Amino acid sequence: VKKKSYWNRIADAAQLHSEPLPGLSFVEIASDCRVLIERHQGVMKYDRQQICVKTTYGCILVGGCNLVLTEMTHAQLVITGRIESVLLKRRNG
Amino acid sequence: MMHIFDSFQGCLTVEITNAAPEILLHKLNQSGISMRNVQYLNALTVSFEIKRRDYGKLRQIAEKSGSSTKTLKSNGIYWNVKRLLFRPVLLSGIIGLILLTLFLPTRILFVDIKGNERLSTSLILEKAELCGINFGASRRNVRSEATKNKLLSLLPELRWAGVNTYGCVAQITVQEKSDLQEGAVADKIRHVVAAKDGIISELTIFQGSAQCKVGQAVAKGQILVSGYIDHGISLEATCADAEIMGYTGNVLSTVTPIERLVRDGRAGRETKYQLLLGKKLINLGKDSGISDVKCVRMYEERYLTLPGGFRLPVALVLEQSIPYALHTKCVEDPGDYAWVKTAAEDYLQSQMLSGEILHSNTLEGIDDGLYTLYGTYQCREIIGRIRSEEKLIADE
Repeated sequence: VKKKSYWNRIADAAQLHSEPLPGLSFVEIASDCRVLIERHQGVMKYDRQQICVKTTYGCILVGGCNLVLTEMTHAQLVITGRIESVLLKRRNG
Repeated sequence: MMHIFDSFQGCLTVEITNAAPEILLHKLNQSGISMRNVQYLNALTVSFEIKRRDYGKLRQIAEKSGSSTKTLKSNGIYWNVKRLLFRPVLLSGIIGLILLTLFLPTRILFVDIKGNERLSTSLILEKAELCGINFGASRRNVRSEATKNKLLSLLPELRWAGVNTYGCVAQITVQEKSDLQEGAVADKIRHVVAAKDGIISELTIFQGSAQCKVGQAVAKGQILVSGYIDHGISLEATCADAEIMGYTGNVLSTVTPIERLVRDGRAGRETKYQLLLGKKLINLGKDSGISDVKCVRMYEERYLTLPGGFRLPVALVLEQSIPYALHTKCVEDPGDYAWVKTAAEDYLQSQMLSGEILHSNTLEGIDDGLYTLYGTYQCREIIGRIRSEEKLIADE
């Protein structure tokens, strides 16, 4: 069993399970039409059916229809459209 | 959606064509350029919104990566203001409107009069204009005490005057002096005097001391009932009141032409337009405005009124001239004097307060195209009239 990271142990001790850990990417899905990704590392692939966003722990593949990058700043990225799937593809996987 | 702060700075919608648009987006993102509404157009082309200040940086990155950029749209308040600079007429109109918005509330555009009963509004307005309360006057000056005092000195009939301003309206509130305040003492002393020469036939006194009796001949202006009552050791001043009937003699001379001109149908209508600006009348027609004798003139002023009921000093004046055809008509059957007699008696009756014609002697005739009637009438009528003492002294 892999040992938990320092930040994970602090979060568990403080019972902050719902809060994002510092320095790590954070993905939030609002209903079926909006995905918010914080602390991303850029867009790897972009078309209307699929958007691949690079994060600290791998790539997040957002699939759907009529996908649009509504907002793209250094800190966060907002994808809107009809969301069909959100898939995490680990770097080492 | 554009933020309000971005809107002030201005935004641009840019289209970029690159072999790998994702990589370019990543580079732009790494360099700190924020993008909105990133639209996938095709495998090589994307479009997005950026801030105006980031455009230079975007051009540099795009050129380095061999991309072609195209500006599709510029939006935001910054660009709208910049576009406005190329429309000087509209810009000057907006500036003029702003200046008027700032200037107009400091000026008086309408004057409203309240509280006057006997004094006419036009007279108060005329005097107010002399005091500086007129169209375009400063609101600050209008409200001063000096203006109110000047108005009171120009209109001595006023007891009090106040000027308030509500927006562009100056409201002059006045209070008039009452009769009792003017001459309360003088009004208490009144006499009943004879209005005509005559012989008193009936005497009914309600207040005051009698100075005549039934059957006495009296002259015009003679005091019949005095307002002073002598109590022996004191003299009471009252307001005399009495009903005094008397026999009077009246002489009446009536003259009327046998023939007269009668209007006979309209012969068209002519309308003349004039523009009234304040007190200046601008003639919009060509003629002098002097109408023919045979014309009937109708004068109408149509003022420009705002929805609140305030009237602007601008009016369209319509002056209609309606010419008539005239023809001569004989008044009545020549030789029949009954209608002249009736007219004379009606006139005499209308001159009496109350009374009747007892006897009349008339002499009729036709002279130089005129009916003439000379009559002497014996009447019985009210000859007593109430007069104040002050008035009596003035008459003498």
